[in-house]
Amino acid sequence: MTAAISIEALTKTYAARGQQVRAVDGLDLEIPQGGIFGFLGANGAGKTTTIRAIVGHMRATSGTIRVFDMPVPKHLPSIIDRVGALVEAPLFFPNFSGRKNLSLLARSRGFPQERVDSVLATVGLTDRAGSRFATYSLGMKQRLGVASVLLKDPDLLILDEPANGLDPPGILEMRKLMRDLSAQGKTVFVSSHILSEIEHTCDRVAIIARGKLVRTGSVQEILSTGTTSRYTVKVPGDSAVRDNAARSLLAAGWSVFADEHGEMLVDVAAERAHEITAHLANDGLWVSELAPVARTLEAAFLELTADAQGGAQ
Amino acid sequence: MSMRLLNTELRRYFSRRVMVGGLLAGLFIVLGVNIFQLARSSTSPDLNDALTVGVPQKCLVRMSGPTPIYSGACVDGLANGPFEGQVEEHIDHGGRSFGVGVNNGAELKPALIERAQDRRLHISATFSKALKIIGAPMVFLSILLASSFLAADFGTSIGTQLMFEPRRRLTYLTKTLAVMIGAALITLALAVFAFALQYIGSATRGITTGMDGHWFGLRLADTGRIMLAAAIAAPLGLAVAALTKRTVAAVGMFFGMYIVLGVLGGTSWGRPIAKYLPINSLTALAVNEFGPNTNWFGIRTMLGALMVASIIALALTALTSAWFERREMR
Ligand SMILES: Nc1ncnc2c1ncn2[C@@H]1O[C@H](COP(=O)(O)OP(=O)(O)O)[C@@H](O)[C@H]1O
Ligand SMILES: [Mg+2]
Repeated sequence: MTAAISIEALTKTYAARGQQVRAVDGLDLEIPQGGIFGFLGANGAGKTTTIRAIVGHMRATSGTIRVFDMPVPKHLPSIIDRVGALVEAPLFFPNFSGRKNLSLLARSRGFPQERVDSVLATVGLTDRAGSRFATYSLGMKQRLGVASVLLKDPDLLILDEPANGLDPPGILEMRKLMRDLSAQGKTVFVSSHILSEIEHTCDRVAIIARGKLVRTGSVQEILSTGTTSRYTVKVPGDSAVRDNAARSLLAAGWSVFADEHGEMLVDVAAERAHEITAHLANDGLWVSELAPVARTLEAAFLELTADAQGGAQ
Repeated sequence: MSMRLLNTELRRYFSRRVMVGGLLAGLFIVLGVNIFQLARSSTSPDLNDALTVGVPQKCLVRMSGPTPIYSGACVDGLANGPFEGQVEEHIDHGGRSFGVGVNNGAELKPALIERAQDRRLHISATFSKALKIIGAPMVFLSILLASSFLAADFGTSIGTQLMFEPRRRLTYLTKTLAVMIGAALITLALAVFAFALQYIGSATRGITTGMDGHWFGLRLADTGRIMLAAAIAAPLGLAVAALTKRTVAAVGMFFGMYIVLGVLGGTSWGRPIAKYLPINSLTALAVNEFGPNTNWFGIRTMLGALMVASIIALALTALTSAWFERREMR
């Protein structure tokens, strides 16, 4: 079976204020049909640029992109009905209602108008469908964007950071929606800069940093790459007590940092975390809190890219 | 050309809120023209000051205080024009100021000439004038409605539209056609509105004679001409707005062109440029007055105006659609 998307040596250079920004740098990527594929990268890594090139919003500087085996943007018209994409913040005419916006889009492709109400119901916008788009909250705008993608009943959904602007229940619904769509046999290509987002939904994942592919594989493979975790360590008392504790841990060879609030952070393998408590107790310091910091994508990156970049940050 | 896409773009064009303001403005212009004509609609005679010599008594209609009022029809039939002479001083005569002078030694006498003046609203004569007055504002309205069409879509919804129809050149050309048809339809609606007002005014306070088939044919041609002027103006507004992504740029350019027209038209080297400013040919087309005294900087016929305006609109559309096909979209 052909890939849903295959990208070869994609490069995009922006000229901004006389400077050349290489947003995507020789990216190779293959997204198979079926399943949910996560596209993970920090802000500015080049996710949106890659997606904009896929949907033809701009031309790549070099490289080739195929969607369902058709070169794009040249053959975009022949596959456009099979592809629904939501790129960054969804764009709709602000003075038309949500329904009017969708109805015009449906009309432009000859889709029946009943579909408009059906997708509005799917994303839970039926009640506000008659209000002007400009009056929508960020989350509602995002939902309308998803509705416009569903309007086509596409085989491939490209969602650029769809959780943006959604509240926690909205994020859960979005995850459920992606799983449902995937269960219907559709391919979902979803970008995010938040690891947990991808972790909970995706089957496969590609990580990019600075426009380059860092790693691609199943979620399990990627997550097991990391060997250490980061813990917040709190000791009761003033900052002098905390400094004491930090010095003691450092002297014993632990990696100790301070976060932006001055809290103490310690990098340690999960199975050895309890040794922090034991070590500090030896010094007569009692740990009041020992909690793992949610593993951020940035942390995963730093680890994954440390080798490639000679350990430089 | 896809009818489905055209249908969508026309709906998009007409659904905008600016349409309400635009139509209202158009209705007010038409209403204004008609109210002006209706207010003047009367048969009361005009009285004009005159200096007379040797007007026979049979021309006297009545006296206004010390001043005789003569019948216009009567004095016009006199062999020697009664109104020649050189004014030497002004005198107060029965509350009015008259020039007094002599003609071949004969004393000139102040008088009032009464002329029957039929200024009644007469649709068969006044409707074509109304259409002329409406034409130029329609060109402006068309540019406004076209430029706000795409300028608003840029940065708000063009990216999403292209996700549903990625053939960009087709999209641009369809939008062009939509703004042309839209402007023509609005112009037609306002012309019909003007006709209705004129007819009602003429029937109630004027004359409705002279509306034969030939007359209808001519007015239909007039209407078609201002529809054409509005339609050709639309792609200009669309293109400028697309290139600059600003409605105000297109609207400002329209006003700016009038000023540039005035400046360039005053210089010998600028006149050939003024001739080809779109606003010159579009106004010429809308007003349709060509003659030795009406100068459009060298455009001498309606067909010439149509040609110049069309070629500019076509060239700009070709340029902009090529640009639209290549540029990065949000
Ligand atoms: N239109 C643009 N002009 C100039 N630079 C841009 C433009 N769009 C994105 N960039 C730059 O390209 C890089 C990648 O951006 P983007 O693809 O939006 O990243 P992501 O979506 O992963 O956050 C960033 O450094 C960004 O500043
Ligand atoms: Mg992005």
